[in-house]
Amino acid sequence: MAKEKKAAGYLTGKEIRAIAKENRKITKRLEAYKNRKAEEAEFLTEMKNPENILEIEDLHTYFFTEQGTVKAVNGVSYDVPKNAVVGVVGESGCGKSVTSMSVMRLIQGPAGQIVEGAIRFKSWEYKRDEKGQPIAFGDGYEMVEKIYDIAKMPIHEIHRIRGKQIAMIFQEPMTSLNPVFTIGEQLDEVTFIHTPGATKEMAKAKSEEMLRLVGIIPENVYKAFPHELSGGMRQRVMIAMALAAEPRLIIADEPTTALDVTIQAQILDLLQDIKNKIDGSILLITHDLGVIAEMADYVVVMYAGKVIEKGTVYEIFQDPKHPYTIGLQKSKPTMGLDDSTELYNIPGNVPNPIDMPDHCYFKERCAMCTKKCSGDYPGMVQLSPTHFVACHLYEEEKENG
Amino acid sequence: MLKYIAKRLAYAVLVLLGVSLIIYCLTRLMPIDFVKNKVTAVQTSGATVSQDMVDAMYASYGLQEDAGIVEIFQGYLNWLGDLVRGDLGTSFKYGIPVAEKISMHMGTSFVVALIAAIFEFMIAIPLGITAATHQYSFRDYLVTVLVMIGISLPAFFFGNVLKSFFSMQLGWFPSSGLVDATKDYTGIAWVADYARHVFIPILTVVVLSVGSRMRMTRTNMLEVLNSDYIRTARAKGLQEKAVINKHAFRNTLIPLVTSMAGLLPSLFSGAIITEQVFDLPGIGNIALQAMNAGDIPFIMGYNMFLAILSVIGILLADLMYAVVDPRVKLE
Amino acid sequence: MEEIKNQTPEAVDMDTPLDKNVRLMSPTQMLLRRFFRSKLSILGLVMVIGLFLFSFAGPLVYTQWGETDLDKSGKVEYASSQTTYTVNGVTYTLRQTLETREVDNSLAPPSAVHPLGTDDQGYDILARLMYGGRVSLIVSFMTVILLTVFGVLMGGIAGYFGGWVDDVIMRICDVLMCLPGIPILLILSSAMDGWVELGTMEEGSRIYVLMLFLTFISWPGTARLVRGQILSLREQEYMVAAEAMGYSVGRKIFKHLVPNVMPQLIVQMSLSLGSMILYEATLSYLNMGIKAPYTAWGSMINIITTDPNILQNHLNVWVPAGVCIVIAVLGFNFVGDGLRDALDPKGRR
Repeated sequence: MAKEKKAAGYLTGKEIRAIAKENRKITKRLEAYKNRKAEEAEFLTEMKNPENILEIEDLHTYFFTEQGTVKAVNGVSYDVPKNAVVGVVGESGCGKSVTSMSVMRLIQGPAGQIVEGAIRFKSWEYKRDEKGQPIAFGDGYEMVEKIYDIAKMPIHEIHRIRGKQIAMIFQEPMTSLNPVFTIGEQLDEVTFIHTPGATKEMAKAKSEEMLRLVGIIPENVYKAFPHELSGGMRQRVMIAMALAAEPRLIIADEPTTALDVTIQAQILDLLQDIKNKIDGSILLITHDLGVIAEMADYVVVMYAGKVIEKGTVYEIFQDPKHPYTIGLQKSKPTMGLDDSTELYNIPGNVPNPIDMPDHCYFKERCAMCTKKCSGDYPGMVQLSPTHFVACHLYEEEKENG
Repeated sequence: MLKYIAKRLAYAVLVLLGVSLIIYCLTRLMPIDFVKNKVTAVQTSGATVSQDMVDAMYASYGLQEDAGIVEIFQGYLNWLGDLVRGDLGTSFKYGIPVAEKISMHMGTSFVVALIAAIFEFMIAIPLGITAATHQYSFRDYLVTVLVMIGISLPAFFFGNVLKSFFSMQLGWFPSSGLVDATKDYTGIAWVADYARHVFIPILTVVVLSVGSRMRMTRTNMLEVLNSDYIRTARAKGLQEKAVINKHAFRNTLIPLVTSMAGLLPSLFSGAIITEQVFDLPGIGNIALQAMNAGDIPFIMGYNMFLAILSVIGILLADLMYAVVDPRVKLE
Repeated sequence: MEEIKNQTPEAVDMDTPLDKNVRLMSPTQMLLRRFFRSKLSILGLVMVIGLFLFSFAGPLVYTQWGETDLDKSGKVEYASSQTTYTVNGVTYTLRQTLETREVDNSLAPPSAVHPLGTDDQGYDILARLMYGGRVSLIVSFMTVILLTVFGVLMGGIAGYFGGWVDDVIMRICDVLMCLPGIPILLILSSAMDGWVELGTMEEGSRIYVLMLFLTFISWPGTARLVRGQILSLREQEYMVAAEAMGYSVGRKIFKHLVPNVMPQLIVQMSLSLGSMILYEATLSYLNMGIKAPYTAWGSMINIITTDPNILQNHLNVWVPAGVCIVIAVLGFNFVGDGLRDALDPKGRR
């Protein structure tokens, strides 16, 4: 009896082999699709809403592990409007980082793959002739707006997007800079890659300008190696590097998580400052609600690979609808309350993301659970032009009222 | 920096003292009568060994019956004193000072080892890198199998197989030695003859050593490719080729260059087995013959020479590490 | 909002948890899966098991020839000569027949009697391969066990006690690691030759002394590995916790340290098996290891160092032994590599 019970929790050898075989088949097909040669027309598309700069629609990013398929991103949709800051919030492992990595196409194959969905991005780039050379126009170059579906792009075309159109700031400043090149070399490289005919002097001038922008005196740092700088300084350098090519969208993936609290505040101030200075949008990924409240215009709440609620920052903080969002708000420590009030916590853990049934993933931890929650996964309910929630509670409301 | 080097040198001397003590004691494990027999055998075979030399050897290596700890230690100190003065003693098999004999044959070993090392790096680095960048692909498996075969082949067997096949069955290459004794080549012809003689030995050494170097490159490259800064380089918009050739390669070079520096001294040490198989007049082969003859001065001198080379190698590798990796400061 | 907060949850089916269907691999399954994922590990295992069967079960099946059975059915040749001479006008013819008999049937080509032929002495090569395999495998296994026990002990002492004990042991390791392996083994073997010649040691105990020598020069690697692991484990939180809980030394070592060192140790052991076979074979090839009348794979190749005729014309004498060595070393290395990948927590695909 005990043995049976033990065996029930584990995969059998046959199943393991079946999973491995299936994984090989799927990842081989997806890798081939990723590495294919394709005409530009194949991955050009149109925006649903021309005000947006990035539209993610029904994105599925899976990891094909030997234990089964982990649906890290499972049908995520959200938009980033022009010149806005969109905050994505959720517990660790909810797929918020994987979504941003999918946008940059930095998911590590062959295990990690974008399986389905669209990532539409409005790119503003040099118009190029047949040979791929930019066409001169007055002092600069002729520009053109193109809309790409990043999910459909072959991987060798992705350099059109990375760095120049979308730049990324990573979570770990300590290890994200190459230890064997100086800060100057690494900053200059961005200009060399993205500016046609860049000279050494141009690159250096640009790098120094960017360093000043992030509050670093270039003379001290330009010739330094990364290990000579502190974590906060390195994160500033990372931000300078992201800004150097003047991208339309900056993805900041938990930019302050690995830093000391005091340094966190400085970096946030810097991001706040930059937000006003640049002509572009920021996608800010964090698990810190305070950061979101301070910085974001729009908020996306994710849970176990799905978007459960999205809206303006006002809607999410003043009028949260999803029980999970409500729980998150309540679990925030507040000053000045009665000392006897215990800090609220959401009971339970995030469920194991392998082979999940099609019920609401939050139902086990939810205090407002109804019979309906054991049914199909709830669809998105629109509560206002900008406010959406995926919860059965509001479906009824909508139907009734 | 200088202080660091001085400290390391002092430590190296300490290690060498330990090594010399062990080598001395091990040599003294040999029973004296056995050595006597060997010496007589060498003498009767016609080598010029004066009785003085033999006596001197017994004296300096403390080969006497029933030596107590004090005698052994005294013998060691005497030997060490000579060693410090650069006197490794006189080989009784070859009849000349050991140091002289070693330097006579070092060149041959060095040429073979150097050419082999150049080929080794030229083959191992590109193959190791493609294996890492195409992990789990066919070429990765191919490289893995090559690596394992290279590591697992015994030198004496593989060398003899090549010798039997290429030199004896096919007759393409001379089977032993370094020069054709019947001819008196000069200039280009001499070089060509030399090349024909060392080709198979070098091939043997390369095949045997390329595997571990390839594995080292592959492991390092994989580690580097999984690091955060490579992700940053990709996110910058660098093409994959540039990511690998510039960012990843520069980091993979760190352990490779350090190991190259560490390898440098060992180029002089000679490959005992390969030289024995192809009967090359390299230092390893000479040492083996001395060993068979019970030539104690030469055996001890040679082992000390090897130990010094490996200590220098470790030292060089450490210093080189500080040169190629900006993170490392010698203090 | 206030209403929602105070709403009492309706009775729902809370008995079926969301991840009820989730089943994972057991740790053993994971290990086996990772090990057998690589075809090379399977190949390695087959090679090693095959050689063991060949060496230990082989002589039970192949009983025609033993380890030291000489084939005395030497060839017999008759040479006849005829001499004619005349005495007193009469011509006599003297026919003389000489019988030449070689006692040993040496260097016989492969035949039904000797599937792999015989060597220069007249020993059956197939039988010698089996018995030689026993010696080679036993020497390498025993040596690896010895060096692991000694290395773990020394490394454990150094890592556990630290301070001057650690310093002394590690300096000894540094010194031993600077010793040139093969030349030192040659000196030691030479000394052994001396003892045997003078009768202070029996020929039969040579392989045991050889094991000790191999252990002597190889233990520092294991000691360093164990010491490094212990030092890093001592810094881990759970060891600090164990300390805080007041666990006994024995419990700390066996519950926490040993299971953490084990995986690396197993990998190191299987890779050492390969290198010990190589060491022993090289020494025997130079006639400094296992000597006649016993044999090892390396000793069976030794003959070609003195007889170019065998090297060139009698491949059946030396190639099979070499192939056995290659299979053994390759097999142990494949298994070791597979284990390393399987036990490496970072090596997840």
